[in-house]
Amino acid sequence: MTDQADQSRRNFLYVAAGGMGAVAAGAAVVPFIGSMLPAADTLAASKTEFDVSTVEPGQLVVIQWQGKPVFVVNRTPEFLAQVDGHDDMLKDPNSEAIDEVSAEWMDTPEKRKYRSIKPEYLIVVASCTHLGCIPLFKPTKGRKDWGDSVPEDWPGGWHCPCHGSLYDISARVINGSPAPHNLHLMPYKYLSDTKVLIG
Amino acid sequence: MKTKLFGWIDERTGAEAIIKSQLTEYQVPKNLNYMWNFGSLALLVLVLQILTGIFLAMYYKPSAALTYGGYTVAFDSVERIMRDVNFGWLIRYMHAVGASAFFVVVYMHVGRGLYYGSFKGPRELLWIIGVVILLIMQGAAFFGYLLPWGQMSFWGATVITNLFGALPVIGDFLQQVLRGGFAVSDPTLNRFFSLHYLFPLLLAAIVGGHVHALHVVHSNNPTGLDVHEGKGTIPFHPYYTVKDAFGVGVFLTIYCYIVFFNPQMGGYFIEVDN
Ligand code: HEM
Ligand code: FES
Repeated sequence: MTDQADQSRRNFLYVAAGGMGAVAAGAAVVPFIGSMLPAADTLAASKTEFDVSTVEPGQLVVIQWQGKPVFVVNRTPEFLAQVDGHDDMLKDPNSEAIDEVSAEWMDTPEKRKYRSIKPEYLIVVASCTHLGCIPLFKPTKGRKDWGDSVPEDWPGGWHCPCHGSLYDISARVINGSPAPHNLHLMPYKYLSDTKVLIG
Repeated sequence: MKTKLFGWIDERTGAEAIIKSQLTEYQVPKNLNYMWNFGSLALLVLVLQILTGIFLAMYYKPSAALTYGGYTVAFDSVERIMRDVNFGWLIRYMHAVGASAFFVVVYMHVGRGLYYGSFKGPRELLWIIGVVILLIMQGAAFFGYLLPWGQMSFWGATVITNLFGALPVIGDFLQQVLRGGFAVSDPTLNRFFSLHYLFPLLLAAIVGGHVHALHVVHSNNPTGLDVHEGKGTIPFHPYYTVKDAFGVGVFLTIYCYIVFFNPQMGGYFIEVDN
């Protein structure tokens, strides 16, 4: 026996033991981070059914989908008429900037404009695309009902109270707003004439 | 092999000297047997309990309010952890099995101290700190046991708080302070959760004092004679880091077997009623 340690053998054992330890620690992290992801019942609640016929003409209803607020508006013929005539004021009139503002059913210029499957029922995620506040519904044109909280040529739509973003009645963002995008759409489909499945 | 960052920290904290004197070159008797592994195992289990507990607390709700199903918010939140939360079953079993394992390990640790006379001078304070640790552990485990708000939890807490009520003169007062009411009820559950979170953190601090007290007087050894004068000691690293790591491996093997294959231990680790 000598006092000389076999360094290469010792290094191998260090690396092997350290490597196994690192792998084990890494594996142990998986369940802990995993537990912080949405639980099974939270995922199961990720679809919401809603009957749009419960919304009166001209009314806005806020419902919950995946814990997020969603606007459902029953747009009257006047409201629908307010969609036209201010494309030059919009950042993204045809909702083409990012995936979240578009949908595969937007196959006609009409649907791109109204941003809904049935023109009268607009359904959008109610979070301002700036930093997520819920915009206020200010649907009528001009300053008559809203004073100078909206511009003089206000086409009617939403006004975000947090940092002043403006959206038209199709929830398209107006030039000069801090918000970069139109309000997001979420996947939804009609199960019957008035029942929608959101998510 | 000193990196620039470590050098910067060392200059301002003396970290290198501390690590050398308290860990790598800390002198330990060379004749310790495996009974001396249980201190480091207790430390491991304490860390495991705090870690799993933090994650359980992300989903657990300390409320005795009734739910539509006819159970309670607390009970349902534990059931949700078992059924719906990703790996919730694993984290809960780790915590429940860990609680029992903690006592097994600490009883071995204390038994070692009794058998080899480690409680005698100069280690009296070390022993006294240990006794304080044991009492706080019992408190933490007792508070934790109430949290699922099952039948065993409820009656367990009723019996033990009644025990305090049996004390002369101050009994009634103590009992009401513990319960926050005249029976074990919602306020009891809330304060038990608060204290259940606090106690292990207290333990972490006191264990620091325990190890410091140990490092002043050094470990005892199976002969009971002082071996720190002559050539009786070896540095902690690599000798006892490796020996402790081996103990950790053996412990984790047994622990994982129970967690994965027999988490209730026939009702000894988790009562069927809970
Ligand atoms: C949370 C629980 C505890 C932890 C984490 C802990 C940790 C440790 C550690 C790391 C050591 C050095 C390694 C060893 O000797 O095994 C030690 C030594 C010691 N502990 Fe503890 N301990 C705990 C509970 C207790 C209790 C409840 C007692 C007694 C009532 C106790 C009494 C002692 C004594 C007397 C020593 C010195 C043993 C010797 O040198 O022979 N400990 N402890
Ligand atoms: S969050 Fe709406 S404008 Fe900033």
